[in-house]
Amino acid sequence: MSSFLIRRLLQSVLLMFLLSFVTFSLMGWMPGDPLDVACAANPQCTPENVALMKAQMGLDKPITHRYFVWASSVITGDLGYSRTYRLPVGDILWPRFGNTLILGLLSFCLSLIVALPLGMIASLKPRSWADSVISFFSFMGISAPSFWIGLMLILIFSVQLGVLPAGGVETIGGASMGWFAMIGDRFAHLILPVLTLSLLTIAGWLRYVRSSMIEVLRMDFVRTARAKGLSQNQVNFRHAGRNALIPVVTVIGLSLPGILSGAVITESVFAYPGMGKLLYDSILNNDFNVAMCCFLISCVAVLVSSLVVDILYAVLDPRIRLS
Amino acid sequence: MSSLLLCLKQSRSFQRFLQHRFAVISVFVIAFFAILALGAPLWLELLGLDSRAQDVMSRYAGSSSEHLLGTDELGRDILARLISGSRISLGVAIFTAIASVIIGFVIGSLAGFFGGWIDSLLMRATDALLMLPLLPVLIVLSSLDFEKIPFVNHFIGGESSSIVKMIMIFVLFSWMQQARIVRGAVLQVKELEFVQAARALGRGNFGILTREIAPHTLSPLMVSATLSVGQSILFEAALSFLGLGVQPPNASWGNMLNNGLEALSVAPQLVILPGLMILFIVMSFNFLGDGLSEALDPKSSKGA
Repeated sequence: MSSFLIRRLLQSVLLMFLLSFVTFSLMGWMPGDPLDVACAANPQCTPENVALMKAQMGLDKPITHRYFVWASSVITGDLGYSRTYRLPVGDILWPRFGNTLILGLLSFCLSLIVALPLGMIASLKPRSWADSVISFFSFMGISAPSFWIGLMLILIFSVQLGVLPAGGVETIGGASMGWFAMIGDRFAHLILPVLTLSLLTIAGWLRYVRSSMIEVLRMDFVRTARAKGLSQNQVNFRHAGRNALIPVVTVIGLSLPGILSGAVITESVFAYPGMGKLLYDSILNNDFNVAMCCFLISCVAVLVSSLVVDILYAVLDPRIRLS
Repeated sequence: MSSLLLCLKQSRSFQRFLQHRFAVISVFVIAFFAILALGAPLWLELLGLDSRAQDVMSRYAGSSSEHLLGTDELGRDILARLISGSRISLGVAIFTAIASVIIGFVIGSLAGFFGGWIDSLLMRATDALLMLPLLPVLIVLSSLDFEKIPFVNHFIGGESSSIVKMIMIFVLFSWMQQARIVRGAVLQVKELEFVQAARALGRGNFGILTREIAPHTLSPLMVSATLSVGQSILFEAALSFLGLGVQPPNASWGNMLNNGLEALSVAPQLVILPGLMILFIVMSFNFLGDGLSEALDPKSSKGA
């Protein structure tokens, strides 16, 4: 177990180095050089000035050199300086990361609460009307573009009915409303984004829960449990359900980073100031320092959750030995 | 030909496929969209429409005899843009699916057939790519200026360069699933008697791969390629919606949604219609994939 952990951790660190180097080099191929852009705005700027500035900032050095300068400062906790926000990257990043985490965790919980019971109900009577309806909606959920669902929700609840806000995190001037009203206001702003983000995950998980449950219900131990005279609910949920959830854990765990990074689109639709929107905005604005950090955080999220899933899997299913 | 049809009718797989009602309906929906996309210029000509003709005096017009589904923010006909958009959205996705099957087959069969260090190298790369958070990666890649990349810039240029770029990026990140499927199938059959028999008869590695092993990878590949078409359509729509994908004046369902965003309360049909198109076609591909996997793999537990 511990040797497995150490090996996986080493692999992850190596992968992060590789990934960050590749992304760092890719940034050189982004359209528009920040210095050229800054220079174009200033009529007194000559090509010699630009060359001098590039030399001062170390931009004339080879890419490997620049990468190591950047990487060593990131490791010491200095994430660099944002060009567009004129603030240290950390100051912008961490509040945004918190926003995304709230959005992601809320929709993660909502998806769990909805997907697990619905998937089990669908599996109990395959091809019944309940199963057909649930399966049809789960197909619809995995097929609909998430941003379109978001737009439709805005159209219905904000434009037509006018009951929920269409975007942002809080009403402007909301700080004067008092503590309780402010929480309510923030919550109202979260409803539509969380719904949008959850629909997709629910639809995806439903199918896994259903097919895993169907497989387990056919097994011998389930028949034994029924033969012993246990009640239907006990057999279905205690015996079959717990075993059916083992493979589902993988899917659920591996979709956590997807929920976080998939929020790029949901956040853009709802103008929600999270990390996904920050990544998108910073790429459009040539804000490389911010873009790099956002991207690497989503990569770290993937690596961490895949590690956690592997460990959880071994804990839940004693037949599996990590080696 | 007729004997072939009869053969198909009697096959168990085909019978099983027919039982999946949604999959059968999907075949017709896909056929409809395929005809729409293939003949797009022809249909536009027949209808007397032009997807790029602007009429700034009648922006966001409602339905009329001249513009059946109304107009967008530049007074362009929505129906015409939907039709020509189908060509790009479907074209990008199907091209990606075909390319991913070819690349996946080559990589998967090399890894499975030769094993050893080739296998571990290729599969490590595959796993690493599979691990990446796809959407952020696609956003970063699609925002690159391909003109700056040596070698690749030869393929980029002109009005449709954004479409070529989209295909390149999707192909780069779509073959991993297929490679794993092929590798698994190769590992399963490569030690079986018929492969050894072919080797004893003097067939070379290439012959064994293409003649003996490839047919066994066909059905899982078909299923995963079908499902990947739906995925690619969704990703194309998402990127174009963010303004990073297919660029105007080319119409794709995704960038129509992007344009419609600003007029959500004025002209909701601008957002509703392209989204419905995407929903229908992706759903059809998903149902088709589901039907195929049930028909081709009787062991599959789905449906029970």
